[in-house]
Amino acid sequence: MISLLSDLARALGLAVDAALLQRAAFTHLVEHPSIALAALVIPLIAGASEMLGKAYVLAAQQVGRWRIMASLIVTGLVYLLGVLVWSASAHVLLSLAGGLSVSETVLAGTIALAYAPRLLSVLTVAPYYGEFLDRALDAWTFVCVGWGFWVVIGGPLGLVIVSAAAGWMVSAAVRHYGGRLSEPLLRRLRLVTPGGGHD
Amino acid sequence: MIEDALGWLLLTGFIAFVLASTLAPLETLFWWSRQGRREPAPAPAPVTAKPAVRAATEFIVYLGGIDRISGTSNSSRERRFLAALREGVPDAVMVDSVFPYAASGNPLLHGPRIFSRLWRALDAAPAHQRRPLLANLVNARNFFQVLVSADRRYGPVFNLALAGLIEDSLRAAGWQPGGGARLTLIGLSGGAQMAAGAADDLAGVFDGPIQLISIGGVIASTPGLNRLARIDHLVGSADRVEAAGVLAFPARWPLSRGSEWALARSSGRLKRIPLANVTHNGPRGYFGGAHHGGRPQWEETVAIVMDCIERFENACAAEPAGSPGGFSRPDGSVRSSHGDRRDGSDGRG
Repeated sequence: MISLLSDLARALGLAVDAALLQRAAFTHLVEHPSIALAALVIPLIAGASEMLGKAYVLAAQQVGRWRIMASLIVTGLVYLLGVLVWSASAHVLLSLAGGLSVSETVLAGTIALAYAPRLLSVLTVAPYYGEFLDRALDAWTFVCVGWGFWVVIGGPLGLVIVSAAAGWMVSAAVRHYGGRLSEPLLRRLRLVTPGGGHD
Repeated sequence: MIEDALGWLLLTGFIAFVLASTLAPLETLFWWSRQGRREPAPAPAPVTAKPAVRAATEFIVYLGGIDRISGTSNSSRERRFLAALREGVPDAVMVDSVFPYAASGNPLLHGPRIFSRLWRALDAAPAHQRRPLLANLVNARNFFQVLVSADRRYGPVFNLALAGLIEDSLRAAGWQPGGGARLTLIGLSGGAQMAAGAADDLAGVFDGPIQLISIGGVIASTPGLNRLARIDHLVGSADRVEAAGVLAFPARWPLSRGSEWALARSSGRLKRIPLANVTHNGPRGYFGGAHHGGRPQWEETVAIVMDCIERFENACAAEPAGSPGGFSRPDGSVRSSHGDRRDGSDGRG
């Protein structure tokens, strides 16, 4: 338990370094795969942060306290699912390309750590420039993922970019279509997620 | 040492900016959550009989700049301008008490606000003793509300609220649905954005043509611009605040095509009126006393605004009957009174 908490604390500490594109943050994951698992908490918090950033949806829907909490958790889980799909897709692609020496756990941890800029998603609530910030955070996250892949894979640049981009596209598609499929259920539960039917 | 202090100052300023901007939409969100889902506004009742007292055919709503703390806290320069305007357009009913920087319409001195004590202290101090810091706080607070109005997410809610406030004020001033009265919105600085934002919903309830006169307006390309029959945009050549507004809103850049601003400009509804050597405020400002070409600037501004109102009145009268107020709405099938450039404007915005 103490070890898990310690890993969580270290993962959150590494998030700052990852956002600043520090090589050490990602090499640490390769050396300590347990932190890679703990790093999965970052997309969870990032999802909740984004949902807070879209508070106008919650207010407009007059969502109650418990539903707000549930919406925050669901959005975090959607983010986590996106990370797992992204890493799995990238892993498959890298395996097909051959010469992959990175475990799926480390790959997932790398993407999770690269979600660090998204922890600031709550700031997208700001008027007018919030929307610009939202896109900037997307770009920043993608750069972090690319950099993280480059550090942990150490492979050819082309392969790093293609695997990161392909994984992101599969993840985006899953989020998009998954969101559509789950919309009736979310609507019935009166839960709100970014990009969902209530948005 | 100095570098450290500067660093901390910048960091503190950045944190304050982030906090203030993050908190800015909350009032609008709370307003909306209290409103619930609004029923669609009822259609204006048909006028079956002439009212006993002849209803006014022209209404003017003045929305001040971001330095105001309430709807009635007009500066002495503004009061001078408004008095002269009242004198110049005696038939029009003027409304100048709307506080446009809050969805609730409550001035900063009233209502449950975290910083209400601060605003009260500011208001209680004599004008010459108001510390620049406090005055700037009001400016900053209201500036963020301008951004809320310009935001695609919050704007529709905020502007709906503001349109409701304006409508209530107009009703209190004697406006009656179905009369086809003309409405002139005059916005100073950020007030112009508020007016443009509210125009979208005002056009839904107001059955006459609507005009906007922007005085050094900091306006985004907002959907409300599509609902305005005419937009006169007064711009001082030394007005850096207005210029900053152009920079801040990319949809107003000359390369931007298809934005509401570009559409208004290309249709000829938007007329830019340049004023030489005029700054945003102060003695050389739009309402200032500095002389430009024989008379004080504020008199010049009054004359231009009255001219804009007169042109609008003439354009409405020249339009064939059949549309409310003898004027077509510009949204959709736009038939602007200035589509044929009768006023000689070049249509450049």
